[in-house]
Amino acid sequence: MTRENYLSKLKNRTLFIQGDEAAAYGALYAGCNFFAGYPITPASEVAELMAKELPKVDGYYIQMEDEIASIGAMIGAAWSGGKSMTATSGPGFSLMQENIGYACMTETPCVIVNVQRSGPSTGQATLAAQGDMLQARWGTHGDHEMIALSPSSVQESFDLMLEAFNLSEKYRNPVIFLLDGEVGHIREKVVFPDINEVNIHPRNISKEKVDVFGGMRIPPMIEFGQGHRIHVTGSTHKSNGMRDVVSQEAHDKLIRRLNDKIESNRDEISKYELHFTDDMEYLVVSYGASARPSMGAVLKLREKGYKVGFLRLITIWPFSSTIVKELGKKVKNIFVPEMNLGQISREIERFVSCAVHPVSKIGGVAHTINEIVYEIESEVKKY
Amino acid sequence: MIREKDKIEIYIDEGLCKGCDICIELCRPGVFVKSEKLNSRGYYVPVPASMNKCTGCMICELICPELAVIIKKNELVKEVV
Amino acid sequence: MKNELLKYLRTDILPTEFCSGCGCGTVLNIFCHVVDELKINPDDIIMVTGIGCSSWIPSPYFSADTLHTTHGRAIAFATGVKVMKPDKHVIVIAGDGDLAGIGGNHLIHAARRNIGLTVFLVNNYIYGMTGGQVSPTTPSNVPTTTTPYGNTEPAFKIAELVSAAGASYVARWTTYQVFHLKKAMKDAILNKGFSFIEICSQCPTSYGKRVGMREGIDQLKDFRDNSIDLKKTAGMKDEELENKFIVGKFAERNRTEFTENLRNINRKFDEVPV
Ligand SMILES: Cc1ncc(C[n+]2csc(CCOP(=O)(O)OP(=O)(O)O)c2C)c(N)n1
Ligand code: SF4
Ligand code: SF4
Ligand SMILES: [Mg+2]
Repeated sequence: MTRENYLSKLKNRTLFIQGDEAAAYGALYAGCNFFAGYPITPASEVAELMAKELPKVDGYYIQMEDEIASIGAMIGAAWSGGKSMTATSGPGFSLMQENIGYACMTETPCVIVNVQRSGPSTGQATLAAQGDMLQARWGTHGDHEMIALSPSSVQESFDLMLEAFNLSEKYRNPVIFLLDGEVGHIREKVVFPDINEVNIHPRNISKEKVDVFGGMRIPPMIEFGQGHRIHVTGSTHKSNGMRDVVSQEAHDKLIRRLNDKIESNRDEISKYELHFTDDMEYLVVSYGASARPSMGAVLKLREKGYKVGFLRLITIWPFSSTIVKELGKKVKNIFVPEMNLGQISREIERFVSCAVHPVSKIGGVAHTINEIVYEIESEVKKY
Repeated sequence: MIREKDKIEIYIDEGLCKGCDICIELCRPGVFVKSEKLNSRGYYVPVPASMNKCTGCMICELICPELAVIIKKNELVKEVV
Repeated sequence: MKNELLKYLRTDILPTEFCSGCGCGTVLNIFCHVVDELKINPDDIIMVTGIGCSSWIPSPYFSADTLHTTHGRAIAFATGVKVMKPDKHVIVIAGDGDLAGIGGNHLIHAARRNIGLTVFLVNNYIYGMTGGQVSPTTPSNVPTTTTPYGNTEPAFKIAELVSAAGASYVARWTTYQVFHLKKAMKDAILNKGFSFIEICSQCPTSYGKRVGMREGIDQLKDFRDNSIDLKKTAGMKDEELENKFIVGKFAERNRTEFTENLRNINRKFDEVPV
């Protein structure tokens, strides 16, 4: 079946599905034609849906022997013309770290879904968490930039997956899709768009012999098997791909360019949602699953007369520092509900001078609205 | 008695040779000897001193780790024994 | 006079960085002969390698599309390449530490899947690039930098292992048996399923010197004098085979190839033409 025929059958349909499944459908819309993975709760549903649907669009699903193999196969497929993806959770994400760095270094477009569960180690294997926010940023060794997105609803899981593929193609960088066990497993309504109305960023492929690793900030890519005889390596390399592992200048030039291509586009990549920030005295910042009770808490606090604004981060990395800095100047306190012990809260602190309070909840159970209201109210009453 | 024999030429790419002596040691008829002078990178390269002993077996060309031995087998020449 | 086979190499970076007398160069040399004799266009080859001296055989020297991956993962990366490019020759060349140590899991699973990769494992019995640490193929009792009192472990028999895992072509040869090796490489490349050759190779710098063989030629003579044809080993005792290099073809069987199986599933969803 062609992809067009397959997607035309989904057009304008409404399905009641899980966030994991919505992410998989989003990938199919984006043109994903290769998936390699290894089963793990709460991410297996992504793999299961891809296993079922990919053959229908002439794509390929493989279950590999582990997550290291999965990300390896995915990178190999990407250089062979594939739009590729893998999905895992914390333990598998940890195993993938070395090759996430390889994807950064070789500027390989690909999407890595991490449906976060409670860790460290096997932790609470079946329960949700947001404990890998910093691992997504800094998990692999060496200086590097990262793009990571985090949806808060099932529909957004679908929509944002399209964005994830587009960003990975546009910036030639791996993109981490930070679901959490809550949004991944919750069932909600998704409305499927018309594929003709969806914006898909095509891969910038050069048919000519060009420098694939330099010469411009984001060079074009090539596809294996077209006679380019390209050399792809995770070692420090020159713009033609050939190794140069001793020269300080070569490394400096390459790594600064790789960082710069993301850093200089920070504001363009950064996506967020603002509510009630005009009159606010306090700000709540949240993302993913915890953004849902956070929004509820903001509404409740406003009913009670507190002037609380809300920033929902959609792009996690690169960090939306511009807006955080700006909002930070307007408020006395920032509250950050998250399902970890303050990972993003600590990042916010770098950009504001007001007090930042983590509203942490761990243990695999999401915050309730009242818990967040209570924490914020008791802090605010001190003043 | 007249027998046919390949006319064989042996070349050593001195720029590639690393003087490992593998060709010298493994050549059964003993075609090569070690040269007296160093190549540009400081190795004593082999010299095909007894070219006429070569049987054209190709071992040296295949086993040389530097692709530095080239055996050329030209048209057949008749040889009087 | 230049070797015509240099046309297959990235000549601007020659001579190679391999030590004098290293078997890696011989493998590269024979591989070039094989590509030439099979008349394969290098544009139809995709080389995938890992980390180690042996991984440098194709990368950077052989001029084809080349994916130089992380340590041990070449076969995993190559799996993705082969699925997307089933008509290309996807060839992995890497070391014993890389493919049978850190990457051993990928090796046996690729053999089980019978994916159409060609894998040349260069077994120099040591971690060469990192300076001579024990590898899963180092023989017992051999002293290495990390087994200063002798290796306390037995070695993997890799060809036997890969054959047991289901590969459709498996052979073992040494860098001394150049003609057999050349023939085997051709057979491996032409075979449709997972094809594997364990190439016993000399590493004078990091291995040979620890077993009293300082020069590459010393290990080659060891290969010459101590190789034994697999066919002749039937009925021989383990003690008789100790320190021998059992060479020959270990498997050649007809099995369906993995990417072909994937494609057959996709065909089920082909539209019926109206
Ligand atoms: C994940 C990881 N661990 C360790 C290393 C260090 N390392 C580089 S090469 C190598 C051993 C290579 O041995 P082998 O594959 O046998 O190749 P050889 O050099 O002997 O040809 C090791 C351990 C690495 N690069 N990556
Ligand atoms: S085998 Fe090759 S590198 Fe070694 S001495 Fe002979 S020509 Fe030189
Ligand atoms: S260390 Fe050993 S394997 Fe590496 S180049 Fe030198 S001789 Fe060859
Ligand atoms: Mg080795």
